[in-house]
Amino acid sequence: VRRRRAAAAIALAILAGAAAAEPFLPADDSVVVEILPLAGSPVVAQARELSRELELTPTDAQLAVETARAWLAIGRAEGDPRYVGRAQAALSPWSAGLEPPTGVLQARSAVLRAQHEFPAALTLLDRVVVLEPDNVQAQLDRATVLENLGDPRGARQACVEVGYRYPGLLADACLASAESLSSGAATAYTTLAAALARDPDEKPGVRSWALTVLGDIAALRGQHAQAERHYRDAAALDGLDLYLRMALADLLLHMGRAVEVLELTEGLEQQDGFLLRRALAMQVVRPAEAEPLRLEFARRVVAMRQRGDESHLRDAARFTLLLEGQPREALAMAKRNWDRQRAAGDAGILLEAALAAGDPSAARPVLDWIAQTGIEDVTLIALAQRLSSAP
Amino acid sequence: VRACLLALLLWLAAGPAWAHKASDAYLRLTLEPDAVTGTLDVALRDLDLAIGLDGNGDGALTWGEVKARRGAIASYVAQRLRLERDGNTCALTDRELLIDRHTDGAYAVLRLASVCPGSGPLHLRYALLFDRDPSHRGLLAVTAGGTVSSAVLSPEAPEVTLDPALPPASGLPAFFVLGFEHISHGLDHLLFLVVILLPLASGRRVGGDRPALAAFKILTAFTVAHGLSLALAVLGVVTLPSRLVESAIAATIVLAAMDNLRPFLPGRRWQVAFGFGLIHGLGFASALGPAELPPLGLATALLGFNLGIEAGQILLAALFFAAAFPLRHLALLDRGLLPAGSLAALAVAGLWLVDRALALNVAPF
Repeated sequence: VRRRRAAAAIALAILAGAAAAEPFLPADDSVVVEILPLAGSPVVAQARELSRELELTPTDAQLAVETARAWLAIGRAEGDPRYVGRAQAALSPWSAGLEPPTGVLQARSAVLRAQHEFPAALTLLDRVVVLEPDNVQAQLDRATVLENLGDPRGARQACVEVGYRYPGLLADACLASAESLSSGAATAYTTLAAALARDPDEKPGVRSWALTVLGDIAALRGQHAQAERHYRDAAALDGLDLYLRMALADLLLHMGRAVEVLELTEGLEQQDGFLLRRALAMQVVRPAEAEPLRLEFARRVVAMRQRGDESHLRDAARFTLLLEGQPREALAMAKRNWDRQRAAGDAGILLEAALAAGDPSAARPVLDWIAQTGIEDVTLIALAQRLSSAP
Repeated sequence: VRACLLALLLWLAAGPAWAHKASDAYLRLTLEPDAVTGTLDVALRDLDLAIGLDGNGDGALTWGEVKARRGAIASYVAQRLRLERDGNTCALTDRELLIDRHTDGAYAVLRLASVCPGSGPLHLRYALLFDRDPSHRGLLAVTAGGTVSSAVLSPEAPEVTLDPALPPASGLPAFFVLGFEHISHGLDHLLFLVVILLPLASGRRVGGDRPALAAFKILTAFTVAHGLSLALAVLGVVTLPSRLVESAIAATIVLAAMDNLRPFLPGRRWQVAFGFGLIHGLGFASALGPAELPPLGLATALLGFNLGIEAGQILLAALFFAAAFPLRHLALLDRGLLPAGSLAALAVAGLWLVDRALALNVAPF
């Protein structure tokens, strides 16, 4: 019944999409109907050139990896999944059974990570480190994926492998990040802070990442002012990339500084993550203006559901809980999301939704995970306590 | 040209910026005897990637540039969208090219038609854009004989058989189930019905009508009203924040319960049910999502959904009267059940109202 019900809802939504706006015949040949994004960008021109070259020699692994990396970088900078799709296309000759070289495996895992397909990404990276035990980048990527899968112990092990081969701030930050997700947050913080002080000449990119990790740990421990300082230092060093901007927006939302969240997300509504944070902040600052943002996000949730895309259920659950006020639906989404990915944020939304829906037993897997990892995230601990005191 | 550009900019500024989303194309087909008609919406961005649309390379696509590539668009679609029946390929012709807007930008809309005679099932093979972007999906909705079914076409699953003889994935029965489930999970709708039917439990005449007739009038008025506002909401004519709608639904229960205790609402009972039904209909729409609709499939879907809700209501009313009927002569009912039941409903709905209006999310049910 559930599947039939889902199928019915999806069919209706697709049909419904047709009537959203009326198709029209533009009045005149000179009417501009669409502005192609990034038309004048040299980076895109270069990636396109690589794609064209690749068409002539599609199984040139080195060229394919270079092409995929170029599109992935654009996808990351823009937060636009279409570019990730082009990276995937560059690597497609190897998805048809051709034995891929490790470079291709790594690039494919990067595509899968961008698409939030963490278990598949991990499988590929595991193969890389078997073939090339000294591949430091693959170990770092494994650590990230394992963190997203809620396995800090596995992530820690990957960071230790990095440290053997490439000791320094990179390995220290990797380790601190993994340890902060189990019971060692305080130690991880002081160790990483000391490592940063010891290593002032490290590349800005690495220092910036280490500062971001430091900010993440402070935020997790509820030390908001410190977290903000680290994030801002990281941005000053190497620019405010999307990850950092998102982390900062979440922190400011948490601190109730909604006006600043609006500044931070201005003009970034194309990306679901920023649209959501903007809508949440707008609801506090100018509730009347939050309504169009809410409607837009609702349309995107429908679009996601239509294509059967479950990769961004966390934000969809957060939206459904906080802006639609539908705790039971939000809980169902948060549960499906938890089956896919298990970062602290994924745990948080499930606990919040379980609490709002009055269904503490639904939170059991997350409570077990908190006990098992020993994670000291103050937000999670507070939610867990509220749940255990709920009737 | 400048005026047009300005118009476009204004148009862009009207809503939030276009979404960054993965690439989808929307294919809606209607199966008729020996023929298929439909529309295909493909993003202009995606067509530009596949076959190149931007003639002068300035990044601004004019309608003239798109039109100039109409032949190329049609042959691209014809190559990559194959319809087959009984081993024969059925040629697709494009009857019209239009433009439409989706959340992520402007789309080319192709109206397609194919004559496809034969008795066997119809096979569809979809391969648009997969070589350029394997994360592209073709979102298919098929209307056949008043039923709707859907499929997501991907590089892993590019083929689908459209067989009208097979049981449909959806259609009236599926939407009926959806509607029935919705009402049976909707505690607030059920409570409203109980509250509004409560005065009938004593078996007295209401407004000169016997209880059964009064109940019939009330339920019918409620159904017509929520059917009306549900259709308006699903068609996008009325859009209200769900928080407002959910709060208003709680308020209807509060008001109806207060009216049971001390009548103050104007009009007859069925008129009240009609007015409040309009509000509940907006709430039902949330189960169908922010939708808009197609001609045939939508009507079927709405009818099925409404009938499902109706069945749930009738079942509830039957249970309610079955429970109340044997007790109808007890004075207790009039003096006890009506005020006590109304007060209890008032308390619960009042809690909902505060919870929903202030978005506290603390109510345990």
